[in-house]
Amino acid sequence: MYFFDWIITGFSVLVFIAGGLTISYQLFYGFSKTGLNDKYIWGLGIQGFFSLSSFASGVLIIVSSFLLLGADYPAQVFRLAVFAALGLLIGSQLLLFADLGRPFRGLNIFRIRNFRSPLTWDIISLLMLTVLCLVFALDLVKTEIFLRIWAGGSLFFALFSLAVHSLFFISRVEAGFNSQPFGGAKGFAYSFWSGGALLSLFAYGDPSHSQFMGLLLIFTFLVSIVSAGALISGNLGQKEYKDYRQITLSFVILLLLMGEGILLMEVPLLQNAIALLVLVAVFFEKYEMIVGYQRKPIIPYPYSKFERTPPYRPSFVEWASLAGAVSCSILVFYGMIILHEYIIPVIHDFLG
Amino acid sequence: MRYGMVIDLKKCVGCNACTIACRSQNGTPAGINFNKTKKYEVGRYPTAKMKSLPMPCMHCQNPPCLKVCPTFATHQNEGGIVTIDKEKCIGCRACIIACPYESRQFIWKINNYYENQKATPYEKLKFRKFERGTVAKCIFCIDRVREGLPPACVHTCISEARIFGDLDNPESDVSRLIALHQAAPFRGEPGTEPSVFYING
Repeated sequence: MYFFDWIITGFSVLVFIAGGLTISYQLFYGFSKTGLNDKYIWGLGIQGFFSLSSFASGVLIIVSSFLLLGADYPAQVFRLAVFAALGLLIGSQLLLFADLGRPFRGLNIFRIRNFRSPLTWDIISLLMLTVLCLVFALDLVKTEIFLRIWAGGSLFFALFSLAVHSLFFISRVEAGFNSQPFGGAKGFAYSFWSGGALLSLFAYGDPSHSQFMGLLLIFTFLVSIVSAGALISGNLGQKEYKDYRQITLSFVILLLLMGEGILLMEVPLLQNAIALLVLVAVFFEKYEMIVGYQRKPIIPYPYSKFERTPPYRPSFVEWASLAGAVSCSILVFYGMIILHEYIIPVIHDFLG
Repeated sequence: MRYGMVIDLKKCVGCNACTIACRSQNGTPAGINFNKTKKYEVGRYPTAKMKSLPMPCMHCQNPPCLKVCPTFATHQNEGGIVTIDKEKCIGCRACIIACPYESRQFIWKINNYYENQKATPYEKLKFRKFERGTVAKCIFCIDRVREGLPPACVHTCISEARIFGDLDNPESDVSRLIALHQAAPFRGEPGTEPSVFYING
């Protein structure tokens, strides 16, 4: 670990203490200090949950695909990627439980299992992914065959969790809005995109970096096409689907990546900035998916004509909880590195 | 047996007596409305009119809220009445997102009717049924129905715009009215099979 890594770890500890307090408040005193209302039922907490779990799924889909096909892979980069996925999964689940009206009753999901509920499958798939990441992170996958089995399981559950995320809004689907064929595809494309971005960040300084930048370019292209398709499809349905921000952002990133390639400029700082911009773009996509979606009246016109739409402004507690979950993810990531670099060697030395 | 309701929009005068009767019967805290009345305009000037669309829970035969509930807190009772067990509800709000009729409300806080005052003895007694951090909705006054009485909104309607009965019985008032006026459910397209039908909608 470099000095820079220690600074991030120290900062994350501070943020986690502050954010952890707000998460604890939500867990023990219930879900009261929010900017949510009868119109906006899900907000920043669920947006964060979807974002973090989508990042983790994207990383694991790429990593497990490489491993499953037996391709040459950068072991150290993948190791870091799985540490990050583990942190993101833990952070996302923390955020989900803090967002429940009765957080401790959330454990009833495991006791009373409704297998028709997308939330049940979401929790199962995320828990399975967490266990798989933990197994990998603790070096318990020793042989090639187990590695392949691990990769198969990770790929399945990562894809499954993304598929489940597209089911939550299905009963409100109507022509031209969320029923457009690109709606579900966007969830997958944006997750691959964030996975590519995170892997390009972890591969910084590694010979495999250019491969991951290439992968990021392909995913950017995919996201741009899917977003443009969604806009055209939505407009053909004459509905209010006008998500120009996402399309603009994806095309800007596409132009940056292509421009960098054409001009043969390999500016590491720019590449890392692009990767971070991708993560921000995915976070915005989740905003549109969760919060923006609820802006639309549920009851059709003219019955909703006189309906007031109160604004949604996330409260301090919601922002702090999100910061707590993100810092928790970073801490788990660095915690695993510290475990492998400092603690396990000491234990080995001690045991002889 | 499948309980259902027919609402004749031509008879509804938009007095909101149903909303008040519902509050009184169920003792809902301030801000929680099991029965909502949507106002909308029809026609054009000079013959434009303001009309009302009373909207209780549709008590769907195929309720999306029931499927998404991870803890079976939402369940279908005898006669197809959909209710919530507040002890099982974890407050995930997935059912509110799933409901295409805006029939459910999350209890952010138990609000008294008299601001800046403590709860009255009546409120203390009635609000016991509700819990902060859970979801609430119209229950077709299931306690009254079990006693053979119609829901409070039906009982109180001054213009008899609401009729309650057994949809499975072809001789019941509701079945005859549906057949006679070709009553239709509100937004039946999602395949939810609502048990509330509207005449002249």
